[in-house]
Amino acid sequence: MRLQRWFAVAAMVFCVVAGSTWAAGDKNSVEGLLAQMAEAGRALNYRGTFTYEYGGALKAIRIVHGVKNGREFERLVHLNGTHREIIRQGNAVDCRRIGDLLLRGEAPGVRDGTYRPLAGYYNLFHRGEDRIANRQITVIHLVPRDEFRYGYIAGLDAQTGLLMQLILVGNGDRALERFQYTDIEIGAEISEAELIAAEANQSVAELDGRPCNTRTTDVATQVSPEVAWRGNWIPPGFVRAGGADSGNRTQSALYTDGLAAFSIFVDAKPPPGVPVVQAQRGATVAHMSRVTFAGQPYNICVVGEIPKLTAQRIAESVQLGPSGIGND
Amino acid sequence: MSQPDNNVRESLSALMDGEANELEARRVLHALSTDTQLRDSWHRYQMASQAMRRELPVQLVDFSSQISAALEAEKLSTGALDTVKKFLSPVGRAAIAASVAVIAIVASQHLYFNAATSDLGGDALAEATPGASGEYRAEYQLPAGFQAPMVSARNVSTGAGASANEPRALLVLDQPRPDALTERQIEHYLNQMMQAHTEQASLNSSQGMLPFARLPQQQDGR
Repeated sequence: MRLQRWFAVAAMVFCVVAGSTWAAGDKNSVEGLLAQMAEAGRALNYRGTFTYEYGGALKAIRIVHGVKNGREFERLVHLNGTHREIIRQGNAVDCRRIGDLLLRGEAPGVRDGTYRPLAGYYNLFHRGEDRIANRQITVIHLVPRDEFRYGYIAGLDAQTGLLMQLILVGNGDRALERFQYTDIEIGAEISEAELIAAEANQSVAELDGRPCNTRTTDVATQVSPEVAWRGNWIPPGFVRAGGADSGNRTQSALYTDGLAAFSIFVDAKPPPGVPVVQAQRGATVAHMSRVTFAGQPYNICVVGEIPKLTAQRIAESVQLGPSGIGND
Repeated sequence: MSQPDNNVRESLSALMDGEANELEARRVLHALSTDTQLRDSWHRYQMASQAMRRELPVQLVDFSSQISAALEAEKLSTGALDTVKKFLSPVGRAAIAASVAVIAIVASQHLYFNAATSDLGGDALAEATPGASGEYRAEYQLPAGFQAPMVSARNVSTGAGASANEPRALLVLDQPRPDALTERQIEHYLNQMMQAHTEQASLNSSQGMLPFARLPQQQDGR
């Protein structure tokens, strides 16, 4: 049948077109851009407004970011709803944290030699130019190579490399959330008055500078002196980047592949009556599960910008054991 | 070609919405066979409606002209087909062309979804062993077409104070739905976790201020 022949031709045309798009990606330059992006967000002075959009909701947030005496200062003001501000100050601007190092293709403290640079986990594409907040941007596209993470479309300021737009792309090319500047001034002089909260009685979360953590191994995995935990399955490319002991109840560890991040929480005293649930808001999922060890229930909660099944698989791999289990 | 008259355009639009009566449908199909401008409109409408349903394939390749040419060149010689042709032409021809176009689009989409994104492929995920997962499906990705996708929309309330209401986290429970109190507890508990995750992520991943934008409203301030 002629029709079948046309089908074959059509399929070939499709393949050729798709193939040429593939070939257009320039990996070297994309990796360079990502490294630049990691630097720019920290080291530059800027003030602007960005929007954050997910599931039909749109928030607008004002940001002022400045560097003084080698330290970063940042103030975020939510422009809708309740007045809220977030103040961050004192982080050393030259501190290259784990996420930054991963974006640069370095893998600090990964001992088993399995880590590959970012391009081992994402296909990187350069997608041309666009304009955002009245500035020229370079658009790059990161397509995950496996189903353990989401994809990204990132718009970077052509001049400075600052991240101007980020779209998290989930299953079936669905955008899960979009962050985008509407206006921005880069390189401006930032006064100290701009970096303090407007009124004392407003809801302000102050986050102090923490020591520059660039190692991946200095994280406690003890839940209590007697009990420790470890995740037996971590998606490839994710590296342990931090951890916290929030109160005396929950132990957590943060993992990142440079772009995506998730935390594992192990709660030794789960609130009674809270069932095992899975929740999603925008790109953030939370998967809870419960483990009993030595007659005591523990809540395992995995929170992060990763697909649901990844979170579930991580949570289910968490194993509790006697002290020392996490140190091998 | 001449500017298609408004009646035909209205009929075209009705046909798109599935509201055209038989007469209108015939008028449109007749006009489509001669009027390229109208045909382009039909094409655009279809694309727009597919874009709205997010059904566009990665690469838009217009097969319609080739297919028409192929159909034109094709000699339908068997008696049965001749009879059919007499009855249906040109309506039948248009219908066949349309159905072929639909199949072509569906086929290419299928290819694309299989190749590029099966992010929640449950079986595949379960089969991947931790040891082998590093190599898992490494070369299967086709680049997705670069049309910035739309953020999936929900119904947005426009009532007073609507801006303060964010969509709540969707709870998927593996047991019966809890009462309101328990639900609030769960939400509070999850928000605590999200807050802790946000702070760690902002310091250690490279998304800068983005984690703070993600923070749910009721827990932003401490």
